[in-house]
Amino acid sequence: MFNNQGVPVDAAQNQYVLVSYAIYLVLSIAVTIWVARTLHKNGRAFLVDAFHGQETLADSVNHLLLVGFYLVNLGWIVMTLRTSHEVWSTRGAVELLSDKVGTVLFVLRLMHLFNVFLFSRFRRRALERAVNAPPPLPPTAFFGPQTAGQ
Amino acid sequence: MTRLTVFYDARCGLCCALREWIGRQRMLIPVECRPSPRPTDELLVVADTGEAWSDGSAWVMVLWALAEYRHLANRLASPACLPLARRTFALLSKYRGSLSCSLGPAPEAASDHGL
Repeated sequence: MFNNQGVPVDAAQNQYVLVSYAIYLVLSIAVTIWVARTLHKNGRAFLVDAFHGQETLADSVNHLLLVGFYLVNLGWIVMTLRTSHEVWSTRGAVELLSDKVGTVLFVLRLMHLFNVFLFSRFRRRALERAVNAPPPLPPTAFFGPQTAGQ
Repeated sequence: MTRLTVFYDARCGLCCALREWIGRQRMLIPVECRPSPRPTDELLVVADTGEAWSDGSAWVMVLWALAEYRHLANRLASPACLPLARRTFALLSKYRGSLSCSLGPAPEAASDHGL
């Protein structure tokens, strides 16, 4: 069977799908790299603060988070590459692409939120443990420093 | 604030078990446990600055001084959790006698009184 341009139908569909896959991979990986770099650059300040200025430790944790982020997102992109939809036209290819890239963007958004949550939790824990952290409850009585511990 | 002193009832088995537990924990603020000078129903925590906390607040402050439980203490001290935490600690105090029995005799086993 041939389409109106004289190309076999299977080959034509194959071409659409392959081009969609290629664009999907390029777009998704590019967005992943952009989000990862943004998190890596802007999360550093949170981590340095959370680790009381220990830059080596903060950089190390930041790098580990970056690796985890890449692994999860690239894994997701590769896992969801395959499609069972039949693509017969440019319109179908664009729709397939938007479906796929939309899902990747959504997952990236969730991962981004999760990373920001981790950064803020590290920092909150650090603030809680600070030497001069205020007590969580107001005192119920006051004995005066001279009688304290007696 | 650089130090907390916890006054507990030395005749209560639960209190003594808790004192030993506190002694094993990593502390952000040093906690010293002392037997209460007079029989009292209240757990009392006094800071070196003179501030004092009793009952439910005292339990939260003890947790706050411990490294692994500071986050929990801050949670318990939040307006949403504090009433429940206070009720729980009040119940613990109320039934400490029977809880002490299940933990074995207290070091000074005249325990009809409690925390």
